[in-house]
Order: sequence, then structure tokens, then C-alpha cells
Amino acid sequence: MRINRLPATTYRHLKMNDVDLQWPLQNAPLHSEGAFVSCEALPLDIPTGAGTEADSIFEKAIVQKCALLPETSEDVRIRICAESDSACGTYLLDVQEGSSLTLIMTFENAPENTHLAVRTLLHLAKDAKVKLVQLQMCKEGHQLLNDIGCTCEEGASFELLQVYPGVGDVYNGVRVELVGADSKFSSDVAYLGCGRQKLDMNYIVNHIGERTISRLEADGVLKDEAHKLFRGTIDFKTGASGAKGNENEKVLVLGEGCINQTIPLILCSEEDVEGNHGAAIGGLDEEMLFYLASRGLDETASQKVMTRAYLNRVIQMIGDAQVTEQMEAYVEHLLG
Amino acid sequence: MLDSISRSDTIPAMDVRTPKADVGHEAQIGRISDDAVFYLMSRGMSEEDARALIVSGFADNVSKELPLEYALEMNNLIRLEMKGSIG
Repeated sequence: MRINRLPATTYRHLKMNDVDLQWPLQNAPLHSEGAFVSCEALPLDIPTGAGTEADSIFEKAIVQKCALLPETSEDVRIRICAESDSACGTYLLDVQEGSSLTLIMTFENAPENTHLAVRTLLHLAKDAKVKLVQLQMCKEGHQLLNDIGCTCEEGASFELLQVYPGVGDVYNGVRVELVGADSKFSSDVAYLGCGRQKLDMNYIVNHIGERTISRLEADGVLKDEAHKLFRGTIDFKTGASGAKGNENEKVLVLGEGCINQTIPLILCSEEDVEGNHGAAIGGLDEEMLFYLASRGLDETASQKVMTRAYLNRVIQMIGDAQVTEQMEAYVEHLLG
Repeated sequence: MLDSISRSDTIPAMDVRTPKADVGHEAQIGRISDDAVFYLMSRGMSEEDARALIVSGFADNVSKELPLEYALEMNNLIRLEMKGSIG
């Protein structure tokens, strides 16, 4: 199946328009621990970043639904684990008017060669606020498909933090529809690619309502023979007057065999908008290496310092002291 | 973006396979700033001329590399294209 498709395609020979995903169709249910309870909520038909071809994976998935009542505020943590070779699950959140939610999802305890597929669908009603934190804390050698779809009504705000610290192949799709006026989306992603790891990311933000705001920031480090493809799309639809969108990616390339592919799109059919995108890709420059060497750090130590700095920018934004500490310790363990 | 019927799609692709390269890319999209038009109009220009001057500024990097007669021709073409674009 082909997933993570660009909304506007580029030359086919670049092989950046989408990715071919080989995924088992027989999936066991995910094992998840946490305060997330199953309750009745309307099924929501929300488009996701991975796209409709990924639906076949999630067709038989157990759907855990959560409807958050008006003007409530909750912090929820879910630990997601796979207990078989292939597991999938869907989380459905209907966040009602004026309520706010911080949801921390940690992908944990996936055995080697496991396929772990998680789909999160969110509907944010008027003035609802959601902060979704997703942290990959699995053992090495697994594959993660993380697919998100979100619709924001008037004044709603969706904040997404993701950390992928280089422990398995990652296929990440995020699609956000800013339907209501004054709705907002911000995304901060940090990743480390090492070994022969593959990271394939697709972020799509559709500005439909007036004065909608989006921000995409991705910082990453690539080592060894890692392959990363980042697709970031900001689409200003007709009628989205006063909308603003920014996307930026910084990549530190440390390995001779790394492949870094970046494709930041701005699509615009509205006159009164502001859109910016930027990307900076490069290795550690000599001035930086000299500065760190003058502080007693050799090249390997300098690379660790920079990798930690790239990941910590997002880890420090988590907001939960216990989870932050756990993630910092996990990254320290990985960096040795 | 000068009008509501135009469309702009920017699809830059970067493929970097060496740590020895430094690659950067930036793009901006937006309408002509009302403040900039107001500033030029307060100096006695018509709105049409103010917008034409700002659009010429976008082509400045190219036109200043051209021989003088071609640069003048290009600026005249922009002014001509902008004629009647207001109202």
C-alpha cells in the first residue's frame, strides 16, 4: 500500500511523493494502559496524514473512544504496548466546546520486529484545546505507523509534540483541518535517525477558516545510514483570509551514508495570507567543532552534545516532569 | 499574491546525501503590505504606481543583472501589466 502521499505531487523520479508500506493485515489489538477509558462517542470520519490506503490496516482495529465533556480539563497518559508481532489500535477523541486535554502517548515495549500501528482521530469543538505528546520509547528493531487526523472548529487549538529517538522505522502521518475561524495548530518534532533506520513523515495542514494559524517545526539528526523523508504541506484554501502558516526544518547530517530528503510545500489559492517555509540541512561546521574542541570535547562527544540539544528542545516542552525525566533518561541511555 | 484568482504552489525538493553539504531553502508567500503601499502613497504616488513599484522591486535582483536597455524594458513591461490592476 502507498501511504503519506503529498497533496500536490512532484517529479516521480525523486520518489518523494509517497512511500510503499509493507504491513501485515492481520493485527492483534494493542495493549494500552492508562486513564483513557472506552465510552460512547459518535464515530468521526476524519482524514489522516497516512491517507485512505492505510484504512485497511485499521479496519479491524479496536476503537477506543473518549468524549470530553464541556469545560472540563484533563491530563491523560496512555502507555501503548504490542504483545504480538503485529498490533494496531485507534483512539478517537471528541473534545467538546471549551474543554481542554493534555494527552501523553508513549509507545513502549514493542518486541523486536514488531509492527505497531496507532491511529489517533481528534475532533476539537469550539474553543477546545488539546496538547498531544507522542514519545517513542520502544526497543530497537520494530516498525511504527503513527497516523493522526484532526479537525478544529472555531477558536480551537491543537498542539502536537513528537519525539522519535532512533529506535526503529517510523511512518508518521499527520493531517489537520483548520475549519473554524481563529483555530490554531502547532507541531514540534524531534528525531534521531541511526543505523539503517527509515523515517517517513507527512504533515498536512489545511487552512480553511479565516485567521487560522499554523506552525510546523522539525529538528533532527541523521547518523550512519539512516534515511529520512520529511513532507510538510501548508495549504491555504480559498476563503482562509488572514491565515498565517510557518514551517521550518533543521537537519544535522552526521553520517556519510545518510539520506536526507525534505519537501516543504506551500499551496495557496487565497490572496490575503502569510506563508513562510524554510529548511537548513548540513553537517557540523568546523567553527562549531573548534569551539567544542576548545572546551575539551572530541568530535564524537560534540556530536552527542548536538544530538542531545536537538532532541531536548522538544523534550523540554512536554510539561509533565515525570515523563520529561523518563524521556531524558531514555535518550541518555540511547546515546550511551 | 496580487488578486483573488491567482494561485501559487511551491514544491521544493531537497535530497542531501552527504554531511559535507550545507543546503538552505526559504520561501515566502503573501500579499503586498498595506503599510508599504500607504507609505508610498503618502509620498505622492497613486496606489497603482505604488503597487507597480513594489512588484518591480521583486524583479530587482534579476533586472539589475540585465543590460540597461533590457532592464528598462522589463520595468516598463511590469508597469504595463500593473496598469488597471486597481479597482
